[in-house]
Amino acid sequence: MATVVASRAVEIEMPEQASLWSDAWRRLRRNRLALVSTIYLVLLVAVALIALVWTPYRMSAIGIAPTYQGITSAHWLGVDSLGRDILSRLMVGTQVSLVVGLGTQVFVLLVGVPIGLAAGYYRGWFDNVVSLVINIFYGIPDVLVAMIMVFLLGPSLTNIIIAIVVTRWMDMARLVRGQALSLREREFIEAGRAAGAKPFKMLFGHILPNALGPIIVQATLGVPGAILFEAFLSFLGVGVQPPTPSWGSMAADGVRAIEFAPHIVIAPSIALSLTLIAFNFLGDGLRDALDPRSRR
Amino acid sequence: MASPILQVKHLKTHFPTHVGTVRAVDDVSFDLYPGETLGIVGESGSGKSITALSLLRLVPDPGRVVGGEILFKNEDLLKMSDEDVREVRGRDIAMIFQDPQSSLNPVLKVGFQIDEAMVAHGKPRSEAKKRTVDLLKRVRIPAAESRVNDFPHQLSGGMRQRAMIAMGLANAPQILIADEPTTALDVTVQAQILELLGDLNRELGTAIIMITHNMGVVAGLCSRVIVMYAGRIVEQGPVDTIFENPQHPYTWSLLRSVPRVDALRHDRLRSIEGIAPDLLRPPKGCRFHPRCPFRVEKCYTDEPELTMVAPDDLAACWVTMDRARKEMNADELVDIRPGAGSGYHKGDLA
Amino acid sequence: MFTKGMAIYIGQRIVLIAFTVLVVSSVVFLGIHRLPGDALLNEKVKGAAYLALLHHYGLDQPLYVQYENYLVGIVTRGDLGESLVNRGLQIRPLVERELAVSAEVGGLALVFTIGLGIVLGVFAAVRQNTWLDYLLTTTSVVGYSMPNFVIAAFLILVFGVWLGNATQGTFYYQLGAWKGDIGQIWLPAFALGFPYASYVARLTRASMLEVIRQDYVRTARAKGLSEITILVRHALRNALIPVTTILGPLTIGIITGSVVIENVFGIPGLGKEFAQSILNRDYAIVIGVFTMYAGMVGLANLLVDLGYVVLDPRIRY
Repeated sequence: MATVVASRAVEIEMPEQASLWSDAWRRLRRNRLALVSTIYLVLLVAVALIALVWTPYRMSAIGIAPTYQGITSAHWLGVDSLGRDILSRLMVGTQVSLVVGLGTQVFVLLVGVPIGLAAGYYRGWFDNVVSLVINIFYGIPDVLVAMIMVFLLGPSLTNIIIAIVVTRWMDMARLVRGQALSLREREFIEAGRAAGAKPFKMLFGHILPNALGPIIVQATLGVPGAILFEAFLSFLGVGVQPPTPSWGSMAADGVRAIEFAPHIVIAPSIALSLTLIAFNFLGDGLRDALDPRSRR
Repeated sequence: MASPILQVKHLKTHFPTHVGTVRAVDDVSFDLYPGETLGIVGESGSGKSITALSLLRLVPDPGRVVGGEILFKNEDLLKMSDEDVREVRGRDIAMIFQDPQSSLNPVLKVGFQIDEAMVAHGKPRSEAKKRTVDLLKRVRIPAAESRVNDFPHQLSGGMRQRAMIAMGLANAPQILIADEPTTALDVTVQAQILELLGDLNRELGTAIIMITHNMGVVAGLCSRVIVMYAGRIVEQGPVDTIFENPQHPYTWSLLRSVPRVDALRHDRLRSIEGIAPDLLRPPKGCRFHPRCPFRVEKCYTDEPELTMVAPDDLAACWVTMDRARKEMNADELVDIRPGAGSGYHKGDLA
Repeated sequence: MFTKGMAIYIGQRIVLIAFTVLVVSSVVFLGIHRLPGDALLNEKVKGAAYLALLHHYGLDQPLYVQYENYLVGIVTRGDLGESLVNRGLQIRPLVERELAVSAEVGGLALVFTIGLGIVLGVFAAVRQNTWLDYLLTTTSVVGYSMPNFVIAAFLILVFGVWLGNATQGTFYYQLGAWKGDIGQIWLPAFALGFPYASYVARLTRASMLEVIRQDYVRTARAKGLSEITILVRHALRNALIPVTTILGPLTIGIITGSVVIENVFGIPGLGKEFAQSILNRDYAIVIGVFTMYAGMVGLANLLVDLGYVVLDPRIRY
């Protein structure tokens, strides 16, 4: 007595299908802290670019106002121990921080990603060597080595970047290696290999795109680390040399005069703090947005 | 018949979410008698686990028990203070869980975790340690004296579950709630654990509430069974009665879907059509009607109550299998798609 | 717990650490000795006097001989050499003295970091989604983003300048000669540790949140254990495992951070010595201090690994 069933399919309400990236973008947009941070960082870049062509005063001009003078209408952030305009120096310092922050990450990516991919994917003796090297590097006190390196090689921006990359590349390499290790076990990789894909294509066409999320997060979070690193070096006097201003060296200046001219330390301190905070919030936001497990 | 040790009346446990309220347990009532083995069976999402968790007020966030009473020793567990409930847990009513690997703390020794159950309820540490060894022997773990100092990862799956059972029985509770204790184990180990539970029930007189989705488990261990669907009870009664003559189409379909050893090789596997019900917006009328082969018009609009449809057999159905057999040739049906037996379909299936 | 496997593992780790220290200090040694005469240029001596100085420090010998002598000196006599700038100043006693100072401040910072961080993290996890939790999660990011010298400057401003003026010296933080008592130590220790305390708090919170959802916590509750027992004995012990992972980098961070903090507060510790020696080009001291640091870092990593084993019985070698 079977009757032909003319049943209508039950309407199931499915959420709008979205790719990982558009989904992540949507989630990132909703993160207010990340949004504010991005706006701040965009403004920061703008300031750095403006400083290329214009600052209120020449940043190296000494004695244009009485030394240690506080905030005035002529000098919005006051004047430092040598009578230089702090605002102008702060603006140029932005360039230093951004170049170091972003520059180091570019090289960290160039060095860490291929090494990590190869080590994690191929395993074997190469991985053993790489892991050993990574472990050795983790046993190094990074700031101390960087100090020595910069001092030996000469305190230029390039050398600072090199020193930071040398002491911190392992963070990226270890992350990427871990990603490669877990991804290589997945079925789509097996499928790719079975189809005869060349290793290069496997690594860069299949594994790398899937590891991109954590890599981006790591790189974003690596920027404040590098900026902080450079600030430390400059604070101690082994970083960028005068007259080029660095927020770190400006802060060191300010600490020496903290009892009678606190404004000198406050400006670069706030600049540093805000920038680092912004990058960290952005990195966090990216991490939450790209994590497929978090439910929001 | 002795009076029941546990009376659950109109229990409702809901989960408020940002897309609506999930009514996981929606008016469930049953009694538990001393020393009996009661099975609560249903598919995933039927509410059986949440029912069990509600008994001890262990419902995870954002779930809340929103209605009903749970009477144990004449006190309503739902109205007790946190302190009092804490005392009931592990001492009078104990619960063991599905995956012993994740349900045991990986950084603490097994023996310690069992001791803990007793110490928490007043036993001195030294006494507890002795009893732990006895308990491990009781649950048939070999070399109990040395096993006590092992960590969970050093035990096999079956031994871990036995250890959990030992932990549950540590304070000789009156009721042991077992939430799918065998699901995560190998089939052979499953049988051993069930046998163990049966023996313990007989030896100690501990009542057991067995939560499972497996009819075979129920048949092997339980004397009474409750069948749940979409947060409600659809049938309950003694196992023999229900298994021999299920009255609710869902129960009937469940029993029918178990592959039989003596089936012919070309017989198709029989499953229940349709998908699990959405607990956010359960179907109107009888919750099973979108999947029921024997539905009639009334099933779409009115929700049936549990009524005595046969001696000792409570079922919530307008049709019942008796009628389906007489009027719809249920036993000869090959095709049990929704509405196949009754021939009734309505325009929309809401 | 202490099996043969364990002993082998510890042995391996020690070898690795020794190897690392050797490699790193060698690299530094060789790097620095590219410019052997530099330090002595300070002296502005010429001719015979210059050669005599070179000889005194053994700088006229081939590099590998110098290196060998250096290593032998360390291993047999614990001799770290003599300062290039301050003739006659033996490095090892200097380093020992300063290490004690740094250890005091650093140790306090470490204790404070871990203690406060864990407590706050647990608190936030238990009170998830309350205003307290949101406050903590946001300020923790702020906390670990700020450079420690910024925090130090802020503290000095508040406690040394403003509060001092306001309370006529009662709360005045003395930035003067170093006495090393708690009155002077707590401020640098706080500045040193605060960024890490924030990070630990955040990590602990995240870890606790995960652990609290675990099945074994549900089991513990089903047994009728008290909330405190569940929290500490069951949840926290497991939650601390990932926190232990960062203890290594954390210790390194405190060590490197101390270089800056000692500079700011005028603390006569190892960090200040290191920075100053680099600027003074006193390479002998630089190498000596650096080798000591490398050893400390290795030791810290080893201790963390061992701590791991203590915490998590699933790890056995």
